[in-house]
Amino acid sequence: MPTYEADAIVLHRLDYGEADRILTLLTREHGKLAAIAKGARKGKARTGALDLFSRSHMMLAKGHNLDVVAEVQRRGDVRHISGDLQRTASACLVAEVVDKVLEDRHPVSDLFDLVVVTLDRLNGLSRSPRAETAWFLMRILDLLGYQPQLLDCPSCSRPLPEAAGWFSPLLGGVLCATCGAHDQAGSPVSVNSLKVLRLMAAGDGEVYDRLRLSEALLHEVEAALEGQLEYHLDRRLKSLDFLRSTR
Amino acid sequence: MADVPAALTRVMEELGRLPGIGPKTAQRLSFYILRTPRESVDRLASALVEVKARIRFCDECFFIAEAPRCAICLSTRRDRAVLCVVEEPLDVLAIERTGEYHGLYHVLHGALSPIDGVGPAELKIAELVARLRREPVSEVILATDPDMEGEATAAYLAEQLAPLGVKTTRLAHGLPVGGELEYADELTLARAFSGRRAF
Repeated sequence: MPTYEADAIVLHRLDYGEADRILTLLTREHGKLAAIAKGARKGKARTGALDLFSRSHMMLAKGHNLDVVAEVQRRGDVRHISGDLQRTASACLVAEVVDKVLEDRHPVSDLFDLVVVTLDRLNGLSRSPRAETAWFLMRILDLLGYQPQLLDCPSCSRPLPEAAGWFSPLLGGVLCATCGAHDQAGSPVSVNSLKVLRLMAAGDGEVYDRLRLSEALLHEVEAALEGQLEYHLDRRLKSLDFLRSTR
Repeated sequence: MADVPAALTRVMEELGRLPGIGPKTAQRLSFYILRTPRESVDRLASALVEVKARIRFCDECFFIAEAPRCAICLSTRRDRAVLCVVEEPLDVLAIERTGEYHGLYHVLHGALSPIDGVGPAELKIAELVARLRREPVSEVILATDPDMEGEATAAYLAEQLAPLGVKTTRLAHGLPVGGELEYADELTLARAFSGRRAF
């Protein structure tokens, strides 16, 4: 059976047969793919490296229907995500979004790098998982071409003043005071939330890391980004519903 | 292509609904059933009907039972001060095979899985908390699987049980018996080190 190598992250697992698992993998080289890990539920040596969100260097064998995981060498570390419900749920959201937006076997190396960095940071404990997740959402919206419009009103195209406004997922950005009054679907954005959203959109990670985001501010930022993502994906995300229920 | 008779298609469809059974396995099993003597098929069919009619989940621990309470909950020889929380009924059978544990159980019927939309309300967690409020349990052993969902479930349970003042412990993590150190993955090895004990 021909084999190939891949740097892979486990996005999803499904128990199959007696002790096998079907894995949804995000690989740098081959994009998203499904592979079967035989005997993965038996608690053998490599089982830990095949857990959710684990990153490994894998050798995969071409199979008839599914490729087969032949060898695994762990690369990433997710030990601090494991056993922390908030971090686990945030990592689930990352995995679910990536699983939904990617077509099989279409590699997007920027997306792979974003997932690696996000999982590393969720594991790193230096920042709250909510802040890390919000940053991920802005970055993935950017990669998908759905970054919210934050400088001009998406309705009347006039420049937005640095003032509170209304975020409309339908129109894809923050509406000015005049246009926002007519659009009911969406969420309020305070002037500070608008500043944080603009900073995130500019990709200024260093400044973002230094910000102390209050609960209320984080809530507005999350509502805007999550609304934008769910509108464009045209579906509710199970991990997001879970996260909302724990906030 | 020849049409498959409706009765056979129905068997394939029903078998294909079972967990871990794909369309090809369902086909193989269906043809096996066709070739099997009538008496064996009758035995299988009646066993399936009987198990559904007679077996239920225990009102107390949610393990399998033939009455409102299971044999373990009814036993007078079990240590009622210790409660072991597991994900599935099959985990109870695995622990019972060890012969090392003599307490009671509580079966959650799953693990928290945000990605699959399984939250606390889908598991028997409220029932566990209610049970601990009315029963004199001194230790709860969290024996959920040592994977991402199992660890998240254990962490959530520890948080929920903390206000009750019950001692909460987690099953040890480490190297499998009969395994070789050089093949252990880093996380397992790290946990085996942090959980080492005096010899």
